[in-house]
Parts: sequence; structure tokens; C-alpha cells
Amino acid sequence: MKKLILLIEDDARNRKLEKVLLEAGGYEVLEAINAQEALTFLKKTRPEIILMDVRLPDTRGTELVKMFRTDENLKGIPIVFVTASAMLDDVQEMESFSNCGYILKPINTRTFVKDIEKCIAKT
Amino acid sequence: MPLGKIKEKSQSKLSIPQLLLLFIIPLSFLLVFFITYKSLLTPGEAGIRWWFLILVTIISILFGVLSRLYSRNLKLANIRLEQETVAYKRMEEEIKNLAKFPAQNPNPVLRISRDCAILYFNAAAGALINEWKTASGKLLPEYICKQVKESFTSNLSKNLELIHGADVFLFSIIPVENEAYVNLYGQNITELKETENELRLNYEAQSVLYDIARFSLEPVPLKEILEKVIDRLMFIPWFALEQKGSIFLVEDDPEVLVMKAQRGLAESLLTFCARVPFGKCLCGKAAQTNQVVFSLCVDECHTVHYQGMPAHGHYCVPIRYRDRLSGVINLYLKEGHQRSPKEEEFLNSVANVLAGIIEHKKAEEALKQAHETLEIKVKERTLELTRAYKVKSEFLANMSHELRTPLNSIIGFSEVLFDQSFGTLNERQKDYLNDVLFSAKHLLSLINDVLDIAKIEAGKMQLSLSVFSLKSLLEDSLILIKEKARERKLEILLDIAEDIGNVEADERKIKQIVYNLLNNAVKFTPDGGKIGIRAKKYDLAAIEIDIWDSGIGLSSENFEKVFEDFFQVENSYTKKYEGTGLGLALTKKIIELHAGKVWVESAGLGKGSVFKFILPVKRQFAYSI
Repeated sequence: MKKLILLIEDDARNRKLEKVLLEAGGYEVLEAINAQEALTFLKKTRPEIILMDVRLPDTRGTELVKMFRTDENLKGIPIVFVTASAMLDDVQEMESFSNCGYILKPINTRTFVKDIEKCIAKT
Repeated sequence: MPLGKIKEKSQSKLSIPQLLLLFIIPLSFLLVFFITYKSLLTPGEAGIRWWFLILVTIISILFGVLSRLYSRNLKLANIRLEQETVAYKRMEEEIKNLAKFPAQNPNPVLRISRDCAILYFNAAAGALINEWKTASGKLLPEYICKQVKESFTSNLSKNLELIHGADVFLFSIIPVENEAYVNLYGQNITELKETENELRLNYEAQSVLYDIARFSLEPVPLKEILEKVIDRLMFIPWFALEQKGSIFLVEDDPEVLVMKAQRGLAESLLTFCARVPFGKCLCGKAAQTNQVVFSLCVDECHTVHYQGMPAHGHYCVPIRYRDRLSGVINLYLKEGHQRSPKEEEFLNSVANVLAGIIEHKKAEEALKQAHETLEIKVKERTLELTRAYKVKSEFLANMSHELRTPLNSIIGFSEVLFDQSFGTLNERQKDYLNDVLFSAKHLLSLINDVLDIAKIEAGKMQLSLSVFSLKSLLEDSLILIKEKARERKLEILLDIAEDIGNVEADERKIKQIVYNLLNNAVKFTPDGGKIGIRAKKYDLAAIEIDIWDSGIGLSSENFEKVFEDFFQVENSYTKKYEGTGLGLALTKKIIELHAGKVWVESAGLGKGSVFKFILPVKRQFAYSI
């Protein structure tokens, strides 16, 4: 059975690219365009990995993680940020969470899936 | 010579030899006559006659000699007598002349007995005595008698100053030994006294001016200086001032005096005279006429009155600076104080000194205000700039995020296509797709560099310091460009001193710099050339790293410019070697963040170049040239 991954990304083309790569890597991808949608999915299902952009249209990815960390059910899901932001503040914030990793955009398509797995292994 | 002795000598009788001569001569005559007579009476022998003749001859000779001797002595006596008479007369005249000395002395000379009776006085003293007599009915004033008596008892000289009408006399009372009198020698010292007085006044005036000048050096507001000046003027001992005064200045309105400082003024005057239009009252008059205004008492010109105003006089002195009026000094005088040119002259000097101080202080205060305004403006501007920098860096951060998002899918899909995971591409398609990828990656590196520079400028670039081996870093960096260098048939030379050891720096960023410099070296060196790294200790605290090539080189005017943002050498190579134009600017900024220094050396175009940088082994050991 394929591992379920929740991809939260507002940019349609980036979401598409990442989905293509993940599916090619053997994952089943659940797409969400914002935090709202992601939360709706999470009520029904529990993915093995959550992949998210830091700058989401309705909230910051980091805020969302804080929310997950208070939820008994979602607490343990490893999270990987995929972000175009290279500002130090953002990086520091992303690094402050346990069970979290980050990948900077632009992604390397050839190593994307491996990078994610490496991130999770580290956490 | 004593007079008595001269007289005695001139009257003395003939001397003893002279007396003897007077007796011998007649006796000789008598003897000759007697012998002659006797020999004539007894004639006879020839022998007797001879004897007689010889005797007569001898007597005659003796007589002659004696008479000559006598007459010479007589002459001598006469001459002496004459001489003595002349000397006597001269003496007498001398005495008369000497006696004239005290009489002719224009200074008073007196001789006063122990019981204060005048024994002698000359004409000059006579005039004084006459006046004493008319004034008090006594020949000598009591205080002179008192001093004379004291001089007698102590047997010491005394000096006594006597004011006599407009004149001042200094008397020296000199006791004379063994005499029952004292001599008084007077001297008119009126002029001396005046000079002395003038000197004293000048000295005091100078000291007032000196104090005023001194006040001006104190770092206090003008008002305080003016108050101190008024206080100082009140302290002048020779000026019959009331303890009141004020200083007015001309400020915004050129026809109005504004009271800036005052001492002892009545409450009602403070508001009444706060602003005095030119021409009003005495101060206004001084301002209008530009002349010192004096009033003996409260006269018709004194238009300001208030309940219980005491009698007083005024000096109102205009303070002139160059050809305009800067204020008026208003001093209160005791009623009846007479106007004096000397005082006016002094007050004018005070006004002149004050004028300089006022103008200087005003300029200083204006400057201070301007300075403060400027400082506020600079602060505001700095704040604005800081805000602008923040906005700029936030903008760049956002923009870089926004730009990276579409680039992510451009690069990503291009790569996916290029990898032919979803079907094969023909060669031309592959070539074109490669161009898309290349351009997209170039755009990405531009964005990254701009973002890095923005971060440094906004002070947001933070170094993550760690200790690492510089030798390994340099070798690792070389591996990254080895492939490129091989393609271009470039020879790589490595010369790293064994003792360079570890450094504390941001490893990732130093690697970025070294890679960037090596990349440039490869880029700007024609095929078959040489590139290399040299590293050695610069001193105990720093390491020098040279990244050199045998490439196109640089002309000296570009040595500084290459490190500017977006600078690219304008030549035929520009197009050939595309770059962001930010690499070296970033290199410089990062090295400076590490407290190091970077510069370039080149022998000229076509002669290769050496990029040198000095990196402190610890950031605290800031390097500076």
C-alpha cells in the first residue's frame, strides 16, 4: 500500500510538479491549497507525512504546525516545509520545531523525494 | 672754611723776621754813621781808612740785602691780604645766595620750635600760613602742631599729607639733632595725586572690563551673562550707583528695546518697561539718539513714573555693534550725582565690550539652535532611511520569494522533461530545453545574490561561525571547478602552506566566496591557461589567500570598481562571460563581515589577475590596512 502524503501548497503549478515527483516516487498524494482545506482533510484521514509551504494564503505554515502539535492525533506526523523563503527568520522558525525539516525552493527534481525522506529520517 | 678763621688770618700782624728787620735797618744806619763820624774825627792812619771803607761797603751791602728782603716780605704780606679779602667777599656773597635757597624755594619750608612757634618760613609757606590764619585764626593748624610734637618726642621724621583747597601737600617733618626746632619741607603733590587716582580708576575700570569679558566665556545663556554684568557694575566703589540697573536688547522689532536682564527694579517696572519703543523715556531716547543720556534727577524726560518712586539719576548708554544698535545699558544713580566724562568714557567701553559679547552669544545661540534643528533632521532622516532599508529588505525578501515560486516550477518541469521521464525528446528539443534551464538557473542565482546583498545591507546577514580547516575548504572548493577547468584545458596550481591551520568563520560563506573567485578565474582565462590558489599566514592572526589566473586581467582603474554592485568590465568579454555582476560585491561584503579585506592586483589587460583576501583566524582580530 502506498504511503499517504498531504501536500499543502497554494501555487497550482508547484503543487502539480511536486505531486508528479511524489507520485513517481511511489506516494499517494492528497492536495490542499490552504490551511483550511488541509484541516478538513485531517479530520477524516491521517497522512504519514505532511509537506507544506511556509507562506500559505490563510496562515503561516509554522502557525499550522503549532496547531498540529497541540492535537493528540496529529502530534506525531513528521512535517517537511518546502519554501521559497530564504530569510533567516523563517529558517530559524522552521528549525525550532521538532519532528520537522525543510527543503528550499527551487527543488531539485532529481533528488526531491530522497530529500524528503532524508529529512524525515533525521527527525 | 669757617668764616671766623678767614677773618683772623687777614687781620694778623707782621711776622717776627719782619719785625727784626725793621729794628736792624735803623740800627745799622746808626752804627755806620757813628763809625764814620768817629773815623773822620781821628784821621791819621791809612789802615783805618781802609777798614772804614770796607766796613761801609759791608754795611751798605747788608743794608741792601736786608732792605730787599724786607720789601719782598712786605709785598707777599700785601698779596695775601688782598687774596683773603677777595675770598672773604666771595664767602659773604655765597652766604647771601645760600640764604636765598629756602626763601626762593617754591615749596613751603618752615622751621618750628618745640612749642609750635614758627621760627622761619619762606614765601611759599607764607601763603599757606596766611590762609591757615584766615581759616582758623591760628598760624599753624592743630594737627600740624600735634605731628611736630610727636616728631620731637620720638626724634623721628614724619610725613604728613595736607589737603589745601584744590591742592595736596606732602610735608616731611625732620627733627634736627641738639636743636629745639624741627624743619618742615613741603611738596605740592596735587598732580602726582591726580595721576595716581587716574591710574587707580583706570585699573578698576580695566578690572570691570576684564570681569565682563570673563563672564562671556562661561557656558551660560546670554541673560545670565547680562545679569552678571549688572551685578559687577554695582560693585564699582568709585561710582555713586544705586543697586539697580537693567540691560535692554533689540530683538525681533528693530524699533523696540526688550528688557533682557535687571537687578533691583521695582515690580511695576518689569512689565511697564518690558518693551520700550525707541524715543520713549530715557532708555528709548538713548536708543533713538545713539548717545549717552544722563539725568541728574527724575526730570521731565523721565516719563515713566510709579507709586513710591525714589529720587534717582540715570546713565543710559547705547550698546552699538558696528553701525547698528544692539541694546541699552540703564544704570541708576544717586540723585545729584554729577555727569563725568570719565564715567561716560568708561560706560562706553563697557557697552563696546558688551556689544561684542551679545553679538557673539546671539550667533552662538543661533548656531546651537541650527545645530539642534539639524540634529533632529538627521535623526528623522536616519529613522526614515532605516525604515526605508527595512522596507527595501522586506520587499526584496518578498520579491525573492515571489520570484522563486514560479522559477521552482519552470526549473522543475524543465528538469523533468529534460530527464525524459515522460517520453523522449529529439536533440533540438533537448537543446532548447537546456537553454530554458540555463536561463532559469541564471535568473535564480541573480535572485539569490540580490537577496544576499539586501540581507547584508539590512544587517540581517548573520554569520554562523564554526572552526574548520581552511586547507580542506580550499581543496574542496577546487574539486567543484575541476571539471570545468578540465573542459577548458586549464592547469590548476595549488600552493597551500602547511601551517595555516584552522579558522573560525562561516564555512558555507567562505566556500561560496572561494568558489565564486575560482569560478571567475576559470571564466576569465582563455583555454590552455593557468589558475591557482596560494595560501599562507599573513601574520599571527590572519591568513592571506590568493586566487590567481593567467587570464584577461584588469586595468588599474577597475581595481575598485569590480567590487561594486552590478559592475561588469565593459569589453568584448562582457557578453562572452555572462554573470550577475554581484559576485564580487557579495564577496567583498562577506569578507568585510568577517572583518577581513579583499582586493585585486593585475599587471594589466591580458596579464592575468590575483584576487587577494585576508581572513582573520578569529573575527575579533579585525584586520585593517
